[in-house]
Amino acid sequence: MNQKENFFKGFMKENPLFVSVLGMCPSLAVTTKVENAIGMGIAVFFVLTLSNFIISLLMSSKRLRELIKPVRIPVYIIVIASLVTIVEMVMHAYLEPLYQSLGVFIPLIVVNCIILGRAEAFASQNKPLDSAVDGMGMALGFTMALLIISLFREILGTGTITIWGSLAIDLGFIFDFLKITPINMFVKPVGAFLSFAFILATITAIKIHRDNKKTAEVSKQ
Amino acid sequence: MKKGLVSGLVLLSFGIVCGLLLALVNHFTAPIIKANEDRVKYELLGTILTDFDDREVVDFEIVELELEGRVDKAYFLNDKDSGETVYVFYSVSATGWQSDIVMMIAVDQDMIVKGYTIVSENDTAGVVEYIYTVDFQMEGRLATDVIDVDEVSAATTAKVSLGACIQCFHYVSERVVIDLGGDE
Repeated sequence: MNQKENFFKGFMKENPLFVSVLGMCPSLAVTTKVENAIGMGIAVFFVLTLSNFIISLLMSSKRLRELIKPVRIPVYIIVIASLVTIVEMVMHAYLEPLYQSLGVFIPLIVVNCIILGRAEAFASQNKPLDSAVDGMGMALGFTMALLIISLFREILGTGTITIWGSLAIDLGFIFDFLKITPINMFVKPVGAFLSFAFILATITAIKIHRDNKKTAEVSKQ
Repeated sequence: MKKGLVSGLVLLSFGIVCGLLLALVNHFTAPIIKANEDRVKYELLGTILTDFDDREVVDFEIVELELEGRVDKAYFLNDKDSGETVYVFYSVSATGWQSDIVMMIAVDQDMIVKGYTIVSENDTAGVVEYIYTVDFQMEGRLATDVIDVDEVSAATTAKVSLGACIQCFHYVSERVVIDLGGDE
């Protein structure tokens, strides 16, 4: 696998949210606004890229690998927790509104399956650079998934797209034109599950359609 | 046994390294977080006072004090240069008709009441709203003098809630003597 494939596999082929269905709990909780999805995405990008790089670096030394191996999971947790705490402190200091908005889900990145999963499945067995690229791709794929869910939920739930702070797009005129009101349910937990199910169903349908097309082409030849 | 010890030492060393790294980041972010929190408090407290805009938040250091009893919290706004207390804000509660009425009362260094606001209440809707319209005529008065005020004329139904508000001033008048050293 070259670096390009390694980077892009997280977008669709091995998307952590839509394919592996990992890290669902915080993902569904924070996707009430596009702004939250961007903030969570940035935090996960930082943590995942660095944790993959650091863990891979530690495991690349044969001597250190032997020492760490029996306690590798606690070591991963220490590294990930430290990175998450750094993100939390920096966000609290410089991005206070976002910090308040994401709330408990920032510290919960520590136990996000995507981070620990990539550390164990990829970073511990590959070179530091490859691991960092994998982390970036996976984090961007995760962010893309969060953006899709949050767009779906925010547009249908409130009729707006909150990009960052006061920068927002009001789509109220579409609802006015259709003479309907935004469906508030979509910003609530039940809306999160429904949105996720709709999106997952659409992706699966597209995948099946593509596979069928491919099979038909092969059988024609 | 030896393996366990080595594993423990590995974990300990990782913990120490990460702890030091976090301490370093905290060293840079903690003052900014504190300043942000102070600014939020300052803005909230500033809404109580009418003549608060002429001074900047940087002039004050906010010292929060947890108290026991009806006056449960005090915020001392101290001048950063001289260390002198310029304003004290008291969070105080008294029993209303169905719930406690919580007020925030501001007093300056000369124990003059500089402002007040009703923070929360859960008394009968439609009746309790009256207390928001009443001018208690406490602003500009010596905080210890409010003890003379017994009642404000009002509709009978709202009297309990009003009485609770006045009681709040009474509690503060007792507390202010302790904090700012005046005589009753």
